[in-house]
Amino acid sequence: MEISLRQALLIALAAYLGSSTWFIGVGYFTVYRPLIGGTIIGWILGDVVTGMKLGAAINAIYLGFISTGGSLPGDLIFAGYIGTALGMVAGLDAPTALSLVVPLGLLGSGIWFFRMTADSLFVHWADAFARRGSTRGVAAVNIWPGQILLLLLYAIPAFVIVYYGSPAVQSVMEVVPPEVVEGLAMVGGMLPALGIGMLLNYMAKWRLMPFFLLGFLLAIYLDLPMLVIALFGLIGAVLHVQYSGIMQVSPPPEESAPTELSSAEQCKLVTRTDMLGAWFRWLTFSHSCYNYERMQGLGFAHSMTSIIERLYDTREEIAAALERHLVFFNTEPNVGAVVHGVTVAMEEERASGATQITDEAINSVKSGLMGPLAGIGDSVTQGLITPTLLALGIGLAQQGNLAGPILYVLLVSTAVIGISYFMWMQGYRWGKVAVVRILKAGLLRPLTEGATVLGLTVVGALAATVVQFSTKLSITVGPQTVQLQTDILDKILKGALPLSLTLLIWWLLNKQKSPLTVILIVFAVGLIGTWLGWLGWG
Amino acid sequence: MMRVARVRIDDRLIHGQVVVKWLRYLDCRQILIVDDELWRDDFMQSVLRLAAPSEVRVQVAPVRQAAKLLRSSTLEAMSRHPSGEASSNGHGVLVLLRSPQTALALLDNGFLFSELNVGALAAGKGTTRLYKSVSANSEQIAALRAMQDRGVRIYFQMVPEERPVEMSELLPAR
Repeated sequence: MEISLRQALLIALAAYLGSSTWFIGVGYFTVYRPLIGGTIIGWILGDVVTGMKLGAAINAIYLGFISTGGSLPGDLIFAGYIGTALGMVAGLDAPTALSLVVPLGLLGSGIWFFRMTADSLFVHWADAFARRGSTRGVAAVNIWPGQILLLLLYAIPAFVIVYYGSPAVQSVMEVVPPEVVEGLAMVGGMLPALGIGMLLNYMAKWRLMPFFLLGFLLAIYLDLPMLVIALFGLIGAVLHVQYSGIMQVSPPPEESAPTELSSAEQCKLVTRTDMLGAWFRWLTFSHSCYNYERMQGLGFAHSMTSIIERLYDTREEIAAALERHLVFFNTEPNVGAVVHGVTVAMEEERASGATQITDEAINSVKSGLMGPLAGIGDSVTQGLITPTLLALGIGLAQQGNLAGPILYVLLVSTAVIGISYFMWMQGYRWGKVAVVRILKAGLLRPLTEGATVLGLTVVGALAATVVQFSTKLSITVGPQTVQLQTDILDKILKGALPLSLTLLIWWLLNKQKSPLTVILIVFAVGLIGTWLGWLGWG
Repeated sequence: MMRVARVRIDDRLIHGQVVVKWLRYLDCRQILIVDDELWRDDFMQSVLRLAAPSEVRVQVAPVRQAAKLLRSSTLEAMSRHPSGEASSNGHGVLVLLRSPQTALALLDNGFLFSELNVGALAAGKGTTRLYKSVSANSEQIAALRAMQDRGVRIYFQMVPEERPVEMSELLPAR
C-alpha cells in the first residue's frame, strides 16, 4: 500500500493524541488502546475494518497491560498505532504483523522513562509560578511543556517508522525465506496467549476458572457471538454473587456528617461551577505532566486552581495554597478522586476560618489516602473494567463489527467518568469518612467478584478466537496416516493447543518468569517448530 | 515464630505495587505496618485494613511493640530461590515502614534485620533524588547511612521484576 505524506503526518499526530491524556480524561482507557488506535489508523489509511481487526489482534497481546505504579512493559502507542500502520502499509498479513509488533513495542519502552524524567524538570517551573501566586502559570506548565515533549517523542518516531520504515519492511519481507515468514505468522498466532496469560495472572482465581473454561467452550463449540457470551458471563456473575453468600450489604454507617465538616456545610464558598471545573481539569490533565519527582503532583495543583481562586484573595494565600498542592501525589486517578473531594472540603473549611485545618492536616489526608486508593482503584479500573470490556470489544472487532471499538469506548468512558464523579462528590460531601463509608458499604467485594466472573468468561471466549496455532505432525502406522491435529486433538477438545498454551504461559508468569522470557520462548518455539515442520496448518 | 519476608520502606504503604506484585511474589498474607503515628490514627488504620484484599491481614503497631514482636522472627534472604519457588510453606509477613527513621528505630529496639528494601520515598522540601522513585532529605539519608554502617544491606527496588540497586553503589560509604 502506498502511503501519502498527508497520511503519514496524520498518523504521527494520531500517535501523539493516543499517548496524551486528553479527551476528557478517558484517553488512557480509550485512544491509548491498540483496539482504538488500530481503528483510527485504518480510518486514516482508508480501510477502517482492516485497521480495526489488526488493532484488535494487537490489543489481545496487550490485554494484560496494567500500569501498576507506572511500570510499563512495552509501549502501547508503538505497538498499536505504529504497529498497525506498519503492518497495513507494508501489506503484512495479520499474524505476521503481530510478530513484529512486540519488538516494536519494546523499542518504544524507553520513551516512558525519558518522559517521566524530563517532566520532573518542568515541575520546577510550576514551583516558580506558584511562589508568585500565579494559578495560570501553574496550569500552563501542567498543560504545555509535557505535552509538547510527548508530541515530539511520539510523532517523530511514528512518522519516520511509518513513512520510511514501511517500504523497508516490505522489501525485507520479500527476501526473507518463506519458512521464516510462516514461522513469524505462527508466532503471531501464539502471542495473544501472552496477553491473556498476563491478565489471568492478575485477575484469575482458581475457584473462578470454570468461568474461563465456560467462555472458551461457548466460543469454540457453539461459535456464539461475543455479546451473547458476555451475557452468559453476566448471568453467571449474578448467580454466583447471589448464591456464594458474599453479598452482605451492611447498612451504611451512621448518617451524621462528620463534625469537622459542619462549618463547611454552613457556608458553602465553592460554587458548583468551581467544583465541576476542578473535577474536569483533574479528569483531563491528571497525567499531563506525569513525572518521577512528584508523579501527579502538578496535575493535582492544576485541578485545584479554580478552588484556590475562589477561596483565597491575597497573593500570599494563593501562593501558599498552590505550593501546598504541588507536592508529591500519586493515586489511581478515578477511584482516587475521592481525595480531591475531601481536599476541597478541607480547603473550604480552612478558608472559612477553621484553624485546625493546617497544612499538615491536609497533607496527611492526601498522602495517607493516595496509596490505599491506588491499590483498590488499579485493580478495579485497570484490572477488571478495562480488560473485560476490551475483551468484548476485541471479540466484536475480530468479527469485523465496528460496534467493537464504538461500544468499548462508550462503556469504558461511562464507567470511568461515572466512578471519578461519584468518588469526587462523595469525598466533598462526607470528608475523609467517605472512604470508610464506601469501603464498608460492602459492595466492593461482590462487585469485584461478579466482574471477575464476567471478565473470565469473556476472556475465555477471546482465548478461543485470538490464540491460533496448530500442529502438522502426523503418525503413520502402516498404510494409514493419522493427523495429530485433525484426527486426534480436534476430536478430543477443539482448541486444545491454544488453551494449553494460554494456561502454560499463565503458569510460567505465576512462577515469576518475566514476560520478556515468555516472549523469547514463544518466538523460539514458533520459529523452530515451523521450520522443523511440527507447527503449521495441515 | 513469624517469618518476615521483607522489610520495606514505602511511604505510600499499601498500594498497587505492594498489593498486586509484592504480596504475591513474597507469598505473604500478612502486612505489618510499623508506625507510631498511624498507630494512634484509627481512621487511617481502618482505611489501610479495608484497602487490602480481603484475604490479607493488616496490622499496625508502634515501633517498640513491633520490635518486641519481630525480635524473635526469622528474616528470609532477600530473593527467593532462583527457580522462583516459594522458599517456605506458610505465609510470611511483609513489614512496611514509611521512613528510614522508623527502620533505624526498629533496629535500635532490637529487631536486627540484615536487609532493607527501599521502594518509594516521595520528594519534598530539601530532598535529593537517590533513585527513580526514592528521594530523601538529610535526616533520612543519615538514618540510611547509620543502618548501612551497622551492616544492613540497603537496596532500592520498586517492583519484583526490577533489578535491585545497591545503596552502596549510589551512595558510597564515607
